[in-house]
Amino acid sequence: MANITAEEFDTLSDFIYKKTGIRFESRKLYFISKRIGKRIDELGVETVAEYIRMLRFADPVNQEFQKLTDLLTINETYFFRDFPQLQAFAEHCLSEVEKKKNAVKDNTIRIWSAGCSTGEEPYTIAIILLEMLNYFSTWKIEIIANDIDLTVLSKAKQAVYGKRSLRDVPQEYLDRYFIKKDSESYVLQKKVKKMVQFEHVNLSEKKEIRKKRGFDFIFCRNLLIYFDDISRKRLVDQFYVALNEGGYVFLGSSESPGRISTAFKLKRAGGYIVYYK
Amino acid sequence: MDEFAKALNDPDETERIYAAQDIAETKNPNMSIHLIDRLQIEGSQAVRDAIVFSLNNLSCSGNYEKIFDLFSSSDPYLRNSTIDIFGSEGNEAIFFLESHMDHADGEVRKLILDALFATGVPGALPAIRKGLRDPSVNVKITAVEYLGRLEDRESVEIMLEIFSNETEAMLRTAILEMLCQIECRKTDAEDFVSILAPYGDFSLMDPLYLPHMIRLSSKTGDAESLCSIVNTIADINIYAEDIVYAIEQADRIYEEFIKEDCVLEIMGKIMQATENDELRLLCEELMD
Ligand SMILES: C[S@@+](CC[C@H](N)C(=O)[O-])C[C@H]1O[C@@H](n2cnc3c(N)ncnc32)[C@H](O)[C@@H]1O
Repeated sequence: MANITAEEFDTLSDFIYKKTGIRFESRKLYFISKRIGKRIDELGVETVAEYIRMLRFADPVNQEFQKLTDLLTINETYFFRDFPQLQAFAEHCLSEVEKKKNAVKDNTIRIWSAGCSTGEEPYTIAIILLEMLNYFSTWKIEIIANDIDLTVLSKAKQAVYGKRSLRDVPQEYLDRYFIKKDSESYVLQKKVKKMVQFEHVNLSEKKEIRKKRGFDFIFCRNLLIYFDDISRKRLVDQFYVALNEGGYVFLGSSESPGRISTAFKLKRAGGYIVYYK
Repeated sequence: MDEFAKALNDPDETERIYAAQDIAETKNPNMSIHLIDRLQIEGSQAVRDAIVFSLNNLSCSGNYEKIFDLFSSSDPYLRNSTIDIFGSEGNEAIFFLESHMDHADGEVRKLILDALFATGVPGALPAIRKGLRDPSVNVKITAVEYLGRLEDRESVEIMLEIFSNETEAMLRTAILEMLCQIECRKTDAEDFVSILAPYGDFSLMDPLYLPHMIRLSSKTGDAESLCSIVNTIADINIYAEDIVYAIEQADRIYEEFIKEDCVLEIMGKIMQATENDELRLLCEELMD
């Protein structure tokens, strides 16, 4: 099997980054080099350099590129995924928006979770709002969560979760927001559940996404890798349009909004870089 | 079509972003002129960004002159975007770019090279090589770097000529770096050695070029030159890492390299002198 060196991995990772704005770090090399090696063998290509050349010049409709990204993505989700990012959201961005809204007597907060899968992400956001907002009951909160896949949406609405999904939930939150169903699973409490509205939406459809406006926060994590260049750019441009002035966009930890669009401003929130309008 | 052009100049920022997206979808090259016109006056970064993306996805071949003017813009975003726009044109743009390589402004000539490289097509190579003859050192260095990245063996001869005629250290280092990147032959390396160490007098070699010459002689399997270079170094510790990593590289290609007496001697010296355990370990492994 073709063995991939760290250098070759970096070249490949650079190539993907330039194309998609998504960075695969070499610490993940171990997990994926075998998969890439196998793919290269299947194609009968000799070296990684040759494989990259093929992706660059002999893959006009991005068919191979899609195969490669499928290999590199792990289709899973869980509560409190990417904790440092959520911490920046909870401790810096949310309180800043809260203060601004208080000052102008606006009591609405609107959040969009794009590509929400089985609901762990929007529900995590709901829990954070419950924990962090002062005078919670005075706020009018809307969390809109959408996905293209009907099966995951139906699971999201049921809101029953197993250990894998709950592995990063702090014990006190587990006690406060979940009810134990059986030895394997927990049900989310109603008060969290009713904060999230699920929708069936194809986010690569122009008509659909252009309806979305007026959000204070947008989360779109680990979804863009499934998109081609044009739909990815269109969606990220739409995030800009859909954000209120001063609103924040959060992508997955390896995805860089700055690489996909120069429209957003960036700043530090704690130790974390955040992008806003 | 006029509708799109109108929307592109709408007072509402969102409408302008959508117009740029919709124009890209039409795939109609005649629309690119509207995008370019708007780009020059657009104040919103979000719209500029959408316009540039759109131009990257449309053929712009009728409007190269207008796009080219953006190279002289005082705005770095526009200058960089212009590189990408030409880059996305591929083969189409080569002839046009090449024909402007006599532009009076050296900055613009450098940007032309950036754009040629960005096209990513083999047809750009001869044009980039022309950059080696540019009067500006900066442009020459840029050309050398790109030719290195494109692993262009054909330009080695011109590089040698420039190397022997020019004294500018940055340019000379760029050339040596380029040689380290490409598939280089022993005879190529020897030519460079003979310039830096005339009459085989290695003590004349400028220390500035030592790290590259260490790499180059190892890369080409030239143990004799490597040893002569290393022997001029007073404190071997300063270059210990360069030397060991270069020998390691050579060892992967040339089985006999490591067995040369003088190479073994160098390794022995380094093992004695270095306080870097990792390096010493690597030497031991190599000598095993
Ligand atoms: C890996 S999950 C990400 C879940 C969550 N955001 C997270 O980061 O943990 C990606 C989700 O994107 C959804 N998706 C893929 N293409 C989509 C599209 N065109 N429109 C809407 N959702 C899509 C998939 O169905 C999947 O549920």
